[in-house]
Amino acid sequence: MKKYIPLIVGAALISGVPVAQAHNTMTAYYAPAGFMQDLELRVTHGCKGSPVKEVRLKIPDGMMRVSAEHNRDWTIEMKMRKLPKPVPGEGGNMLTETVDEIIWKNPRSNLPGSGRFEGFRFRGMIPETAGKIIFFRSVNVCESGEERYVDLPSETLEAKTPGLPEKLLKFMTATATPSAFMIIEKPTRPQYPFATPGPKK
Amino acid sequence: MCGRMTRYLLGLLLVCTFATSSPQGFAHAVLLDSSPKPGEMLMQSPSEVVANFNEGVGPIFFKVLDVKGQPVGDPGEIRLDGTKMILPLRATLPNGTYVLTYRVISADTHPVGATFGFSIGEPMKTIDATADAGSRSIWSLAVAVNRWVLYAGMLWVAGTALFLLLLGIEGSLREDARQKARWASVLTALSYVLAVGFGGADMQLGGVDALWKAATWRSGLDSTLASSAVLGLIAMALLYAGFVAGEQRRHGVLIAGATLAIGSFLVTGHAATAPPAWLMAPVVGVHLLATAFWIGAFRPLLLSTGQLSAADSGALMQRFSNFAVPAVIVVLISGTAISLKQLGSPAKLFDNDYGTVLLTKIILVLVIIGIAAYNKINLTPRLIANDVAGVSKIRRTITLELMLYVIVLAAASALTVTTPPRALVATGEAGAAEAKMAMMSGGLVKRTLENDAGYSAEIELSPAKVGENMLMVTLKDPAGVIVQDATALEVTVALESAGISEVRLKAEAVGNGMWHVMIGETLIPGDWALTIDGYLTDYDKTSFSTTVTLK
Repeated sequence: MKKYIPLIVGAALISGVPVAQAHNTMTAYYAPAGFMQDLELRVTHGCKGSPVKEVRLKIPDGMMRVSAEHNRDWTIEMKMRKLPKPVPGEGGNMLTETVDEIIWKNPRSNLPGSGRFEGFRFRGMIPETAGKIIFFRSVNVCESGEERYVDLPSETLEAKTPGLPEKLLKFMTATATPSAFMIIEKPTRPQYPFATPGPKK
Repeated sequence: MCGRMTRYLLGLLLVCTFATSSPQGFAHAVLLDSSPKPGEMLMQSPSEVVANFNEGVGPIFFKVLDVKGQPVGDPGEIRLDGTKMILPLRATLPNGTYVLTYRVISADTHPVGATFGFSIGEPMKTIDATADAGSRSIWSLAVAVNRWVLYAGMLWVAGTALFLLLLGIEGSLREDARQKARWASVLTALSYVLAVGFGGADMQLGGVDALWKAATWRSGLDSTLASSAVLGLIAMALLYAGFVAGEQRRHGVLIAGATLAIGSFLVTGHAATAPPAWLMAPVVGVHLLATAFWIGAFRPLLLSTGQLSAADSGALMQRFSNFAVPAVIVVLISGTAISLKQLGSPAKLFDNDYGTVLLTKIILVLVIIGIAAYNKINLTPRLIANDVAGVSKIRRTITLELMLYVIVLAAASALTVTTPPRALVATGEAGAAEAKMAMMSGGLVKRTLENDAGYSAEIELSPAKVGENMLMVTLKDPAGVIVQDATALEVTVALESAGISEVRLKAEAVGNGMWHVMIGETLIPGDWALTIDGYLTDYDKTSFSTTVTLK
């Protein structure tokens, strides 16, 4: 079987069959603009075979109301950042800061260096910028070494960028450490089948 | 049969396409074990080399290279056995250092590769800087003493030329100055040659018989000492010719000789080669020129007190001081600039060897200037007034000045073999030894790299030769301010011509915004691609690329 690996790879590339990506990625590649959305950062391997003992995630600009899913295996730490100007919150209060970074650390057992993956779940309000692509930069701290998935594309990519799939594939393979990304879509229906409470417009 | 072949070729083609379109490797298939291991010394030539991964791989290539980058060992077909990749070697490898390099495609489709050295029957040939750190060469004293002679000789000869040109003295004073300068030029020429040999012996950490070994001279000739010696020998020949007695005045020859002599000191040493060289070399040049004029003047001035009347001698002193006062100002300004450059900050004057020697030199020079001022203000007018008592006094003070100058030159030559704080890194003695080695052998690549974001990286690679290299990196933000608090810095090296894929190395912060990494993979000559990834925060990366040619 192994001698066919080159053949499979080549064929996959040529025929456009999705090739498994093996970095830190977003489990879902799309999210609707303005929705409160469950999100997951997927860590697929450690640092050159070394198990992962800490994962850090930078929340992209414009993403509000972020919280992390409770996790009994990892200790979660949140770092906040000041907002440039206060933003009305859910209950009409004014928010002056927002989550900047989520850190999962001190696990009950480290995530093995290869052969296992783990999802790191959090949620937040997707920015209202349909058509844009947002990048989730993350760092794996391993027993030995670190991998920083923080590279950004050399040109601005948007949903309407001609040849986007090829450009995204190129971005994912041009360097060893691309950031995880997510395409913000225009919602096709409202998030909730009922009227949402919130600050009066 | 034909179908299989076609399929195989197609696969190969696809792999090549993939490999070339994806310039960087991903760390997915992980090398768990290998035979030989990185850096291992084998007792005999292996019959095969093995790389064992955490998963099945498809080989792109798997080679054993010699240190020149040529494949060796008459390799057979690559075999795969489970997660193992095996390369049979049908020829026996002679004792020496080798490089094992592979590139494979892992199950998740990403090509990965690595390169490391091993040796057979003898320790791996790399520059073992840590081993050198403790042992100071027995030749470093010879280097320093010879440097002292060289300084004194060169400054004497060039200074005499300047003195004769500027003051245009006549008669027996001129003949004496010419004759002594001819002797000094021969001595200086000899010293230039010895500098190459002593320097080579010091670099090789040679024993007492090092001067009789070809390798010593080769390493001396490989260094900047060789270009210094060539310039110096031409300079001494020109000056000797210029000083041959006769009525004919050889101003052009003297000017050319003195310029070349000064120039010979600018192609080597840490003061003149400090960045920016276009600025520091001329600064050191005028420093030497002004000093030379001063030193060249001592003997004629001293003799004039005996041979000329007090008034004539005083007049000569007066003419000398017309030039000497500006020369002193030049020496002080340029000396301050060089000192600040080498020290980094004035506080460094007090906490290391270089500072101590420099401080001694500065104090002595100030004393000499004090004496000279006394001579000019107090004694010269007395001489001009034909006060004979002043003559013996000025003889004593000039002799004292001369003696102090001999000590100043000793300090100056000691400085040339002491590592300045600028090059001294926080890694302690090992760093100092490496920095010294790099400066002595002249193999130091210094560059400033800039990226589109406006950040810059100052890099110093030493000794910038095949073997182990030390890389120092300083990051600067778009305003040119050193980035002190970067989170991490990684360096990737690759040699495309030998198919050596990216090797990623983590640098260590050594303080003052400097990063340090030892690169052991640069074992093959060629154009090595260096990529520097600076992490300003955990998530903000700024990258730079450059290519260095290693021989």
